[in-house]
Amino acid sequence: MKKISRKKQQYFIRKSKKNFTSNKKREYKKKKKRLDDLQKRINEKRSRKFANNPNRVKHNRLTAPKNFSFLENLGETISFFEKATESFSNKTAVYFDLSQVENLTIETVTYLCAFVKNTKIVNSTPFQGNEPVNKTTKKMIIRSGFYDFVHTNRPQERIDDKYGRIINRVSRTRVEPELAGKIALSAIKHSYGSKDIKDLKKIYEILIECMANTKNHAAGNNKQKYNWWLLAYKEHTTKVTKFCFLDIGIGIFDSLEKKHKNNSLSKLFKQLFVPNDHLETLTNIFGGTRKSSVNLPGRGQGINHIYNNTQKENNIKRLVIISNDVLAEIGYNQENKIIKIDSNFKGTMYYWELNPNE
Amino acid sequence: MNKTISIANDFSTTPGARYRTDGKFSGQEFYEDILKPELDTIWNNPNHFITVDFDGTFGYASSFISEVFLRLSNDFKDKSKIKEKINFKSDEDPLLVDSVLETIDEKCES
Repeated sequence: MKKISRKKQQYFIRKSKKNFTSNKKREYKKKKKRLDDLQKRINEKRSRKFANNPNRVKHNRLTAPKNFSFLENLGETISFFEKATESFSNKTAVYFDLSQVENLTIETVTYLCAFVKNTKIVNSTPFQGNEPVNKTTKKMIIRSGFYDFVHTNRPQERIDDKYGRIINRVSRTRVEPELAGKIALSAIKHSYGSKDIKDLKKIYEILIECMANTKNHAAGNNKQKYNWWLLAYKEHTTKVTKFCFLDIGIGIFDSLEKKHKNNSLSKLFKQLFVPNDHLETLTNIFGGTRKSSVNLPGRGQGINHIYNNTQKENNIKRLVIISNDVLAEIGYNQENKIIKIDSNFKGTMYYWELNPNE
Repeated sequence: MNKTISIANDFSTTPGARYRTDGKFSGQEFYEDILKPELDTIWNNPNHFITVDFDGTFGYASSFISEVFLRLSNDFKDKSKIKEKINFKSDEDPLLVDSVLETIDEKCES
């Protein structure tokens, strides 16, 4: 047998090691794919079983409060979603019992929609729910477009107003100025019977600021992007248009903290004696004196712009911002209310009303 | 000679956010594609001026305004000459002009 040179021997050893490693990697990938497919089939089977008969699958039945509203019943509403989150994280199926709900506000239905469509929260766990018995509330859910996003046995309804239903966009893609324009125009047409774009400037600017904030800040420092959800709900009887814009990201304050990491001793001391400087932070943001999270000139003016528009426009009523542990309520010619809440609201929610009656 | 750039007619009635990556009709797009080329043309000509007309749009995000005019200030440096060369027109929102002038005066970090 011919003797192989040392150089060639080393070459063959390296090549066989490389082949061995790449074969192992290939096997590992195949095995992982098989397991993932199997898990996916199990999840689908479980979801089908749960959909056919909830009693056949172990689940948590969560009863929504009668006053199911972040604006009017913040504590109980947040607690409801916290229980759902815990259930999903334990991979226990959830049955959302909305039958007892007598009052449901638009920001809550928007949040419910965003919540159940959030794959990170739901974690491939089956869920189901029922409708409120109360006719007004049931009608509101249908008109909001909630059923555009979930499977339902309900017959498909004719869509009269696509700009008055829940809209979802993945913010990895874009801020959508044309869509914001159409929504703002549709809103002033409903509330004021006007098509003059001079009347919608403040609404349009608020929408663009909200979209830009989500796209750029909902993920903190991560590359991951988040969805935004928007509902401009038109009340036929009162001509009021109620807006809700939200994302289930990390929230304004967690985002600022991530980008402005400051573990100095002075900050730690401050946290001991002034445990919640989020209130001060938001007050400074409203006043335009808070530095942006990226610390560059001309930045961080989005929320300040939203605040100023609300203060100047007497038709925009009751702007409410909920993020992390802060709730702020501001409006034209009224004193600001900025309070600490007991829970940590993950994400940011803006709610405001266009009210021609006041 | 005075050239008017109407954002509503020459760019979009729905101006967007800051960067091209944010979406359509961004401040960066307006500055790079419309405003800067015009200003480059007339910058050294003492008889030529530009009027930027903000009227006719749905409104402006703070990031749009700051991107356009901070870049302008950063690229052309001479702030008093910028204010001579460019007139700003905003009948629908007069306070917008003040905001633009403040942005031009803001110190830029490179």
